[in-house]
Amino acid sequence: MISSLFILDKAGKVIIEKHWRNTITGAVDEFLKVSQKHSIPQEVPPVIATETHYLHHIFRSGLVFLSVVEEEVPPLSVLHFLHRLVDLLLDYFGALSEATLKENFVIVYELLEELLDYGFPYITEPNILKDVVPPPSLLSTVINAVSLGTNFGTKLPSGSLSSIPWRSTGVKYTNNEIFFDIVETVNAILDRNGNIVTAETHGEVLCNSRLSGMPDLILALMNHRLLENTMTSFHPCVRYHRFEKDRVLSFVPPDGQFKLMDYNVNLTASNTLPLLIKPFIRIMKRTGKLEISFQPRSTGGKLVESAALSLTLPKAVASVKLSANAGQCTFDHITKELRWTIGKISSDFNIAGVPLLTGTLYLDSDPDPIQTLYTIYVDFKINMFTASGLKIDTLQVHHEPYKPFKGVRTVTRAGRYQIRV
Amino acid sequence: MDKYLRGAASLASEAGKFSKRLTQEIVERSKEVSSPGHLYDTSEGKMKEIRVHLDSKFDKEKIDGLKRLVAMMSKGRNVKEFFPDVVKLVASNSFEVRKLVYIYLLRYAEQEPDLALLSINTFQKDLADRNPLIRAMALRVMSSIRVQVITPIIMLALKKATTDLSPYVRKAAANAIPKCYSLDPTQQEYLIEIIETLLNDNSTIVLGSVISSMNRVCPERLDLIHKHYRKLCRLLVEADEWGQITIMELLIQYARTFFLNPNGGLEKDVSKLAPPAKQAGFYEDEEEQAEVQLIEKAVLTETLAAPVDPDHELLFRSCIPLLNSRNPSVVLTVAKLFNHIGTTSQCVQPATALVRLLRCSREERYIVLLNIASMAQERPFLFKPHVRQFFIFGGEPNFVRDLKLEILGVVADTDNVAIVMREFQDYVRSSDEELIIKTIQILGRLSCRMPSIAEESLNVLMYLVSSQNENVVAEAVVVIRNLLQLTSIEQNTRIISQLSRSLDKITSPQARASILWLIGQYCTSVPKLAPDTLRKSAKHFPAEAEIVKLQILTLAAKLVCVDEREVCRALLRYVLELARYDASWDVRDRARFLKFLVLGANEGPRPVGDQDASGHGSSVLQSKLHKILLGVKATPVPESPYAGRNRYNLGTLSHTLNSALPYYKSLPPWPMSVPPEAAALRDVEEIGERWNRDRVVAAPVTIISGKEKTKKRVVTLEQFYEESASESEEEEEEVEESEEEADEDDDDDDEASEEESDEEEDTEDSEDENEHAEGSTALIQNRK
Repeated sequence: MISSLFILDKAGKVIIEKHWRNTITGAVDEFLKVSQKHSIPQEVPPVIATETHYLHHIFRSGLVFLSVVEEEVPPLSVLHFLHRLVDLLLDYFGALSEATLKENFVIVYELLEELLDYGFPYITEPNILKDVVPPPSLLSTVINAVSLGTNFGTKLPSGSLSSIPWRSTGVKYTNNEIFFDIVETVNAILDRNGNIVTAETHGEVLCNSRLSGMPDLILALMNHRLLENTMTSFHPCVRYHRFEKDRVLSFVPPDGQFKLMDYNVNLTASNTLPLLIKPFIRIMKRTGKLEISFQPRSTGGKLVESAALSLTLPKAVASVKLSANAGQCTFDHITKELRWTIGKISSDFNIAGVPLLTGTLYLDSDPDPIQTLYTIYVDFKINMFTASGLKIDTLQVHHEPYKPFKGVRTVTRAGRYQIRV
Repeated sequence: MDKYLRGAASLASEAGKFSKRLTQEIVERSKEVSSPGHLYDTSEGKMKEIRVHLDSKFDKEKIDGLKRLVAMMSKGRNVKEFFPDVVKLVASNSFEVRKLVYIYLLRYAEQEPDLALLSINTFQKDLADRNPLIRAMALRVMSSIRVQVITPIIMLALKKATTDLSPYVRKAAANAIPKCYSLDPTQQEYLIEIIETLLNDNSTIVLGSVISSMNRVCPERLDLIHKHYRKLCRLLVEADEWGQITIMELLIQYARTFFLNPNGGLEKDVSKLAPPAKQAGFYEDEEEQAEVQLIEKAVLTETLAAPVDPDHELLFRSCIPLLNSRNPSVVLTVAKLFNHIGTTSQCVQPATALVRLLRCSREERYIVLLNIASMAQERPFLFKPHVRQFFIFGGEPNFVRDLKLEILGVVADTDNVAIVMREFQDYVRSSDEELIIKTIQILGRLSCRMPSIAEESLNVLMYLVSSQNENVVAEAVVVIRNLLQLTSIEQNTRIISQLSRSLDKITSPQARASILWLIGQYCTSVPKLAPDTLRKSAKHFPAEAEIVKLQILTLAAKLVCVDEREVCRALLRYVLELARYDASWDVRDRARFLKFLVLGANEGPRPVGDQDASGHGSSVLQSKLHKILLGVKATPVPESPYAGRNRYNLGTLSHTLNSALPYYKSLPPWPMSVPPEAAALRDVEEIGERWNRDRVVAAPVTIISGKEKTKKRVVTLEQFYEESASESEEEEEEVEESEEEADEDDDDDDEASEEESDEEEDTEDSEDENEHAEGSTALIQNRK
């Protein structure tokens, strides 16, 4: 499937390179030639055909992961594999940057060796991989460094691979705990009157399992009816037929962090959106007026945090005079970007006054009569709240005698939350 | 006593010294911890240390040396010179050392084949190791060494590994097959034998790799699959994600060869007739009707068509749960499967799943959208309910944005065109020039397909003509020209006069040429405007671009043809004269041609001695002049840039890049008839174990008496189908029985849902059953 993989830094210098078949040269130069045509790295098409190779790449954490292919292959598989690789590296090293890669380059090579065999996926489940290639830990580094000659840090893997591909055997914890995070991102386009053009919330149930043995869990959701007409996706450990039948998630969890499921819920009524933003922008001949109010609507009584919005004004705008009764606002004269950072909106906003931004615009030339669409990008975060209303009801543990500690957190964030004015 | 004391004192001082040295060393070494990146440092001085490190007797120093080597490799330095030093480490006892040696070995083995052979012995020893991971690794690395001499050794090892107890070793064996094949293609026959053996495997970990090897070594041997077809279908859900993809790819090929078309031979027509809806705008209404009829007909024939093979049905049923996979590539492959071998109505659910994938990363979204665009071109109704999902967010990358626009243009029909048009009107107001231009093009194509919105589109486009942006204006005018050819004359007059008024402001040559052409073509409807425009343009003639000059000439000729006044003739003569001395020969050519055509007999220079003939000829031309110059022009059909992709199978790289790649396999056409024995070939006794998810968490096995077991037997739907197919001779009795069984099965299910504890018992029951049937191997697996 994949012939070679390169990890490049922002400037296009190779940090890691790995060949599974023949050594391939020149692919990186070909890639750089194409990517230089685009102003920002995000705009480079993910699949590029050059004269000799087919290049797939993703851009994440400021690094380019480039894989070279020489024959017919499902491109989505290659791209998804690259994303998996990045997720795996993040899981191993906690953060991903040029520095962490250089620090742990040996582990990266060992991982690549196990992940693909002759370019075909071999072992991709993190739990099994951790058996073969142990992740770096402070303890092992210290022991290795201090130990005189002999080597305590490395041991032969037990070789007792479990028959479930996603969980290794013999997991042991003194405290058995399991945590669930429901993370919802609201993606929406609204028109100037606050009507929904399109809106949905995309939810993920993330799980951090620290349970001993082979527990079999059954997770029940409150108001699971939400998920009836939508498409959901599950971690392979979830028994799909059980979900179809009883609408509960029954699974043997992998160890550590993983994504249990994700789902989409369409939001159809505008009053269910967490925010009410009223924008008003009018540009006359050489001056303009701007007024934006920002208030929480249906947030289940929870506070709106890290609220912010940004907006790019037309090029003709020379200067602005802004005043806001909450937060700070800035205007970049070169990019013409207006940013209003509100932060936390206090719960008594109704008494203290709704956050409001007013301003006057001064133009140095006539604006284009056609290009009159402004897009306001909104950002916010609400803890302990889900826009869809999904909640976790109960969790039962079977096949293991202990009672684990269970924790649930929820958060709703703005994904692409935009208003067209 | 004294001696003892002295001895003790010296011992203590020794110990003191030793501990001091130890602490010093510890302090020294722990300094290194703070900068773990030091190994990545590959200065010249360090190079010399490497050999010393590699020869050291301590594992730790060896590892240090090897890590340095690997670091240098990744920096692109050639470190081949260390090969002999590294190869001798391959027998090291440390797992860590060996892993690093393997990384190095695989990189340089091809260049140092003789030295690489030294390592083979160690690998052969490892192949008999107790630890399956070591065995798998040895096989994997050995088969990756690209030295042809060792092929026989690898082949032997492969044979042995096929019967290994650990599925990981068997998987490594399956992966080794294509490596051997690329090393030595003459071994194909033996490799196929190994594939055949491995196909009998029941481990889901192994099957995916076997199938992908088969794809590489013997893609045409679909006959090997017969026996395993049902097993593959059943195990599909349990296989790992990458395996699911390769298995489905193979099953698509299989179904195309051994099953009949479930659409009853109509599928070909659907794909052929759907695209022309965009090609010929004139017969739009009829086309649409035809399309509707076609769908109805398809649905009708679906019900009338020959019953679908139960095995074909089994494949569909096994794939549906995969739509919920977390891997987008799996979902896309399922969609591909239904698109290529399923019925039209079955594609609805996969289409919804594809829309779900739009939340994944931007790179993946690109591929998904490309495939949606292709599917939508054939069956736009699949994505009609999801039209809002394709609206464009601000800040999306260009490649995603263009595809979304394309899909919106294809999916829009009379029901949702209002929403789409409102969306387009927002896009043309955006500050992104490219988005505006792309939207204009889509508007043009959409209006060609649906003349009902042409008027609204024209309004939007006319609004854009007043833009400050030159490129936008140019694009808008070009599309307006296309649209005007579709609409009625009365409306054209208004728009043409508006355009000619803005001609002075418009600078883009393409736009100017388009406007001039329009005025010329419809000069009868704007009799006052046309000569005036010509007069103004003639003044700037030398400064215009080439295409504009050509259009000025054409306009002048057309005008003379309609307007008999001497002014027009004079203008024509004037521009012809200017064109005659133009730098471009196209312009000079056109001028000469028009001169003979229009002014011809009267004013053109005549060849001597051929007067009559040419005079006669030109008078014929004169009489037909109106027809020649002002005849009804065919409307140019704007082509979608994504249209050609349908040639290729969905989800392939060839489809993405729109060109056939090495190893691309197109789908065979549906067979006209299927040999009846094909179904019989798929009938096999189910033997051997099968990995069962529920068994993994086996609770202590409770023993249930044999009688009870047969009574409580759970019959899954698949088994039910199998049985009814295989035992068709004793039909009547058998059917009744299996019906009963099925009923029981239902009962069981109900019970299960009622109570948790009941459920557990049930699974245990089925576990038991499996256990009994599978015998000792299953138990061994279980204890592990």
